[in-house]
Amino acid sequence: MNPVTYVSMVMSSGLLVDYIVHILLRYYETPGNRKKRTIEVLRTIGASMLMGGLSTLLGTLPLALCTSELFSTVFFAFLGMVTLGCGHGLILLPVILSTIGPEDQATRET
Amino acid sequence: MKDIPLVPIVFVLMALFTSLVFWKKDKVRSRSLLGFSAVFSVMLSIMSGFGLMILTGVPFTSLTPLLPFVLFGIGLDDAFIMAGAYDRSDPGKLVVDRIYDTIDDIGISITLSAITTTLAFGLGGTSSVPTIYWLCLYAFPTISFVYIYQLTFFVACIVLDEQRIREKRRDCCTWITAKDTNGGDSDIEVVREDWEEDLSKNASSMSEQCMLQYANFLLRPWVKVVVVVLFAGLFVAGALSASRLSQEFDPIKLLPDDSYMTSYLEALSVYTELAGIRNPPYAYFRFVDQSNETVQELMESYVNDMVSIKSINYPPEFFWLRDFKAFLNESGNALAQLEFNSQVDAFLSDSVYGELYRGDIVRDDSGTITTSRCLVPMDNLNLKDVKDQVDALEDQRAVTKMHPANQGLDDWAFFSYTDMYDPCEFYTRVVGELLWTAVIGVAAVTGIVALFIPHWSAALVVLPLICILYVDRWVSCNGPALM
Repeated sequence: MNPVTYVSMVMSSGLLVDYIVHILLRYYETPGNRKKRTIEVLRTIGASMLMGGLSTLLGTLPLALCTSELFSTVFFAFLGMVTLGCGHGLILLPVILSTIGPEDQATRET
Repeated sequence: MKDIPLVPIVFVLMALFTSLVFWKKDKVRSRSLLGFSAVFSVMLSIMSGFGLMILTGVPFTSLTPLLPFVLFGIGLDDAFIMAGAYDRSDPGKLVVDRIYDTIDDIGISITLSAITTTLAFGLGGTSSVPTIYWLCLYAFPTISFVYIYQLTFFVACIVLDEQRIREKRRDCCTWITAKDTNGGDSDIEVVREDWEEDLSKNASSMSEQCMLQYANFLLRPWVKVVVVVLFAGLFVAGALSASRLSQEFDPIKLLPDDSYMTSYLEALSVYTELAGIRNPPYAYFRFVDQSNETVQELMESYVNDMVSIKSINYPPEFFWLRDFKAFLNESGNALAQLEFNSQVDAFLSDSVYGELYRGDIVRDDSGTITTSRCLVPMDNLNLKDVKDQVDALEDQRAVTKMHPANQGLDDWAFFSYTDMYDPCEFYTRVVGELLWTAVIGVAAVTGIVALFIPHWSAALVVLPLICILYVDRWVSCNGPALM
């Protein structure tokens, strides 16, 4: 624990949520039953999100080569963060949604 | 400051990466220029944000160079998502209508992520640690600029790029017009047919095809079970490592690799065995008439009180007041007749005492002592153990606050200080602040999600998931520290 990990913790509280929010929002906008919705979400926004995660890593990659040792820990913090965020957003959340996610009311009624 | 030249390197690297992502084999329909413009818009927003903050005079600390790297990474997320959504829109429509569809499609999504990111830095801005407060002050407008530029500059670039494609100019070499193969204006129709064909195949690009296969794989029952078990394990690991939260402060880590301070600090830790000896605090005395007998008694009692705390075992070896009194006793009556300032003159002109205490006593022009100090080594302090240091900081603060000389004073007359107190102060604040930010963050995000997604179940999904994430991130933040 030091000032730099503190900063990355603060940043991560905002960034981690992004991935989940994107998937969730998309899920609620897509029609169909659980499974269809989940697949559709992954198909449309999954690749973009993966690219976003990769670009985050790439942006912080030079920090690993930085002159200050503490800065390189930021890279590792981000590595963990992006993996976690993407992991929860692209793996855990779809699994949860496809199992117990709410069905689209409009399609159920008709 | 040395790391600033890395920013252009990141710029080039990111530009190459995004161009590659937007690249297609077809020379006209490839969009690498658009990728470059996405990176450029982030660069613009970093310059705007930093410029604004430098203009308003927010201090640029050693942590601030971190920010461009982070922003380059997170700023591009929106561009990827926007370009992806644009690709999915109906290419038969007018460009303006396509943009309308795109923003309709993912506008909320992007806005939400912008809000959560801004919120994170806003929460960081409430920190009482100045470096972090200033860093968040830099991040706050810059993040907003990223959002604004993505919605204006980047969208405009999409339109320009679309015009280029319609005029069949080549990507990257816009002055070369590709050969017309299909003959004239019917071309939009061809593009549209392609798109509809793609849609019916349910995948318009390779990446979407991959994601589709991935989705099908993920939704198999046994994969689901494995996933849930794995993430449950991760959660337990996160909870465990959060409970073993270790705090360490190594000043060497904050320095650039080639700093001369590094070898100094390393040598110091090799050659000095007593951990507490590195930065012993001084007890300072000010605002009082130090020639007064009662004040002198107070000064001695303050030093004695300091010795009574756990981290100090022995009374200080060198205290000018004690040696001054001994000096007066030794030298007999002749000196005792003189007034205090002359006594001090004599004391300091003694070869041994003068050498020892000249640096500890500050006198004004008339010779009156304005401020003095006494070295109080914390001999019973483990520098490796942050808790020990925090205890020492709080003990000495309690002693100082209770001391009669400081009663009724906002600015203490007697106090002790060493630069080691700064990181200790950081540690006393940081844990509470982190918990506070986490709680506020969870509450705020849940609130925002509930507001934007018109279904009650969304908040129910988000709340536990964010909690899990927040616990899991201890692994990511503590992992490298434990290695």
